[in-house]
Amino acid sequence: MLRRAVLLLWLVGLLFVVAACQQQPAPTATKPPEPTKPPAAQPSPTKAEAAQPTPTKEEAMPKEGEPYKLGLVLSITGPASALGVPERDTALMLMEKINAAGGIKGPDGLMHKLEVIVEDDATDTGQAVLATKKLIEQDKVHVIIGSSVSPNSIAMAPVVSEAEIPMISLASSTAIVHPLLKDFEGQTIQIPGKGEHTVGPGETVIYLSRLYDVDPKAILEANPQLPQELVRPWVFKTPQENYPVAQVQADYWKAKGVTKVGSLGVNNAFGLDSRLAMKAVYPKAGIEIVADELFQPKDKDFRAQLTKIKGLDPEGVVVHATPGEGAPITVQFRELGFDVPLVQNHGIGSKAFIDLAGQAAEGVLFPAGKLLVAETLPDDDPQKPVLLQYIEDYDKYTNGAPRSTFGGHAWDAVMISVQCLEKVGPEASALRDCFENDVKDFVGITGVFTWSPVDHVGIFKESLALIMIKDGNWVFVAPDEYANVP
Amino acid sequence: MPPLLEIHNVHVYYGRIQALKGVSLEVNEGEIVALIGANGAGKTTLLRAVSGLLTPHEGDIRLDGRSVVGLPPERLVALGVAHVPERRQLFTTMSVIDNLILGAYHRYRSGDSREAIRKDLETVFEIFPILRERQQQRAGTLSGGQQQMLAIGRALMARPRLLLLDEPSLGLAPLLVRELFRVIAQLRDRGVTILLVEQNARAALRVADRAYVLETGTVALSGTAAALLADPEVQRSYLGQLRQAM
Amino acid sequence: MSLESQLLQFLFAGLTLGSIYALIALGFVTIYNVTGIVNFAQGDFAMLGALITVTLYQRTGIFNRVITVNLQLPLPLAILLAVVLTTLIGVVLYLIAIRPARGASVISLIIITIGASIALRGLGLIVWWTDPYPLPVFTPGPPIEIAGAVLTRQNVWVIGTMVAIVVGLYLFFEHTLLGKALRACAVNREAARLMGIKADHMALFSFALGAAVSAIAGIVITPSTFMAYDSGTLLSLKGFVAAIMGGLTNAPLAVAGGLVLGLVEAFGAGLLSSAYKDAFAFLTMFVILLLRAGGVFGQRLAEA
Repeated sequence: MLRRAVLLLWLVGLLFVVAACQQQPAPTATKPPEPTKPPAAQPSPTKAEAAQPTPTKEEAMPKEGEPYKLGLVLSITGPASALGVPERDTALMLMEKINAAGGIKGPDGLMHKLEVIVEDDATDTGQAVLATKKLIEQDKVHVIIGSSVSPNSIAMAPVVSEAEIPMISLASSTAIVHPLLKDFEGQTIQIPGKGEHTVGPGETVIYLSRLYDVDPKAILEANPQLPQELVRPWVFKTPQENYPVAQVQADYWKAKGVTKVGSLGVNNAFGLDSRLAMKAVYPKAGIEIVADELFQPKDKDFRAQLTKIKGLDPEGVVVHATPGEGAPITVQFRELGFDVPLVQNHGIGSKAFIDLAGQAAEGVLFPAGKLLVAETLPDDDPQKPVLLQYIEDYDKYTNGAPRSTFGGHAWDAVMISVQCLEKVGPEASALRDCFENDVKDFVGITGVFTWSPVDHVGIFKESLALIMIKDGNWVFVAPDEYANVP
Repeated sequence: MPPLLEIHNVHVYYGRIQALKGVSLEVNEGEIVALIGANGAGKTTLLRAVSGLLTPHEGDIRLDGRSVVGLPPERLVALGVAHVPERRQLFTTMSVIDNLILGAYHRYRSGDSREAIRKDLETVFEIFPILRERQQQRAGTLSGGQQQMLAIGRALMARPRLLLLDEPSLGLAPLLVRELFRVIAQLRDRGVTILLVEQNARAALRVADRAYVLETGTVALSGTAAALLADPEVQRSYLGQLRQAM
Repeated sequence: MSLESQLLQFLFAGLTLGSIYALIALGFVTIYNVTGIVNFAQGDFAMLGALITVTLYQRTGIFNRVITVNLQLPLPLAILLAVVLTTLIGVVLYLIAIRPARGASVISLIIITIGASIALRGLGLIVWWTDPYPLPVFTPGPPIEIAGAVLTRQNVWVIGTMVAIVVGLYLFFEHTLLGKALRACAVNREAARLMGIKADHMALFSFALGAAVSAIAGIVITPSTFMAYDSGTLLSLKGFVAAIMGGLTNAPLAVAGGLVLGLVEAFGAGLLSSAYKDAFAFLTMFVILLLRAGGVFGQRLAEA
């Protein structure tokens, strides 16, 4: 009996531990969990509360209107916490800054405080959807921002579309804004003037238009069976797509005179999208993809794939990965004695990559947002002053947390929202129209945005920098220098 | 001086089935006591209770007058009880010599001298010369008779004061059975006290000093081996014409 | 790169990977033999060994960087301490999780070890967060070139460690009293008890040994593959597959199973399709299990 009791106790304890591992956060609005990095920089709840004007204040200042509310769904805990934490800190920092200056002057002439309500989805799709519903129904937010990761954002898209609330995602996948042709996989569709195409995984109409250089609307017209929607009307996103990233990579290969490259990519949605972009861009630039090797997420040994690639004698190797796998790939790439350039993508744009890969990281090239190399940008770059200001503010607000492109995505989403709130007020359809039509040459952190009815991402290759890792640091490589780097 | 082993009113249940219903017996230093009875009479259960593999639900088991009820087999072997279980239970994938060495495991752990253990190994080889020849062979590849010798040899390596033998003749050819009982008698002469469980009642009674007859969990008869051999009841029930082998 | 040197390269990659699988598989077999338990936390010991080594060796922020460990011990000392600590964790795991459940059904015990694996992963997450951590190569220097293929020094360390541990375990099990007692427990637990061998102690020791071997495996691969809190899961899985291929009770066959698995993965990914690397591994397992029809699981399930 005693043994049975001990066993039961143990199982209960075990359940407790398992539950703790799930990290289910109690969704508490306006009370973000403590930031992980510098504990000194805790945005205390009072900061968030300060956003809610007290009744007395409202009476004292009759010129102040209802607050404008942004609802953020972020992956603050769980595997993507490295994304969610800087995103939250950036949003709270901006709220503090804007409200300190009196708030947002709306089209009604009144000053409106900005209220940022942060929900943690714990990198869990179900919780992201629940949090989105809560923000819309209970908090009645005007814009949904998030989530940090693609699966959550894709799951949230139908929720905001049904509620007709505009959403700006902070995640990378094309499928967030462009509906995937998932239901048509394996079927043949007509490409006007180019013949037939069999739809593969991860493809969208926009992708096909890029692959075949055809107007996307013409593809829709030629294929009435497809959903006649290029973008989800209520959904936008700030991180760049893989397409301009592939364009920068191709520019580099061309400058180096490289005509055949081997590719090694992670076998998930991120890797697929990046590889599709590569396939849409490289061949047109005269670059042959001689190997298209895959590996599974969390794999640790890539020597087999790298050996196979080496056997094909490519003049360069391109890797589609995040630091967890990108770093060991880099180490093993060096071990195997490759003597060709190694180009990766924005997935490795964090210090973790350099820390992990160490000496092997030297000379690795990757296109990414300019934030990482703001100081070394030429002075005439339109983003440079905005970037430097953000770096300074963020450093001060967080007591020295390292800059993060993810925080930059949040900066763009919040500031675009603020710009449109200022212009058209909080009404949902007016806001949506403003996003679609009035965001032109918006100078942000991730890039210079121009949104349109067919483009809800709106970042072009000029917004990206080719970055080289040198002496453990990121160094900007100007386009006219491409031919001169190793 | 109390008897070496004293079993008093022991009850054992398997679930709701009672295997032993108040068994009492004793074994004195230096004698061979045989325990005979039909299949399922509770003979093996009693041995398992003595060696600690199971704990009686009621009653007492005393070694040198001290109760040992509830002690695990690991402790009892150190107190001098060595059990050669039914079907021998050798470490089949290990060599003969390793089986013998493991027989002395508790002595190595308690710091008995290597010299003494080596001498006992010599003794075992003297008693069972075939084991010396086969010492590197895997125990599982020995013949049935050799396996039985190894099982007894392994138990002797523990330097027991009380040796519990469970059906040592099981599955052995008649010639080997005779040889085996010769060895058992020889062991007594070397000073080992033996509690012997046997279905081959005639052979057991011939070698034993005293015996108990177990029937459905109770002691039905007891006495000197000679007396029991002559008992008409015993002759009819246990020494019938089926035992022609002896 | 010629086909021959490519094939040689796959061989090196396969042997390196296979050595790790073999070590994890040895842990499975040791614990299973002595206790009858399939310990799915085997790979998590590898994670713990590696991350504890990292923490002792270099400045590391743990518990959300609240505590900074700045011991910077020499690598060999850090490794030794990490193996000892992981072994202790294995012992504690046995004492608090497995021992109280003695006599429970095989399925319950398996569920407990899966739970223990989740708990250890949770512990890893709390202590080290989601970052992967590197270790320096043990002996820096240029790789060895053989016929156009490259064998790095760390690969040599990995394969050498595997061989050393296999030889060491062989000597231990064949030539020491404790090793023999462990084997006796594996062959016949009841008879072992009658010899005075404390089954409970042997079970505890098997967990310690399993944890130590896994920890060493985790440490030697970390310089080239890094280690994160959840890396143990895949190692457990592959080690288990290797052990199953060897019948779960046979240590030499488990080592062979690990090596076969590594080679299948390397050649499969290299010559066929890298997307199905894991599929090849499991396919191999099925084929081998079919060949061993009526093998380990048939028996065990019949017993249970």
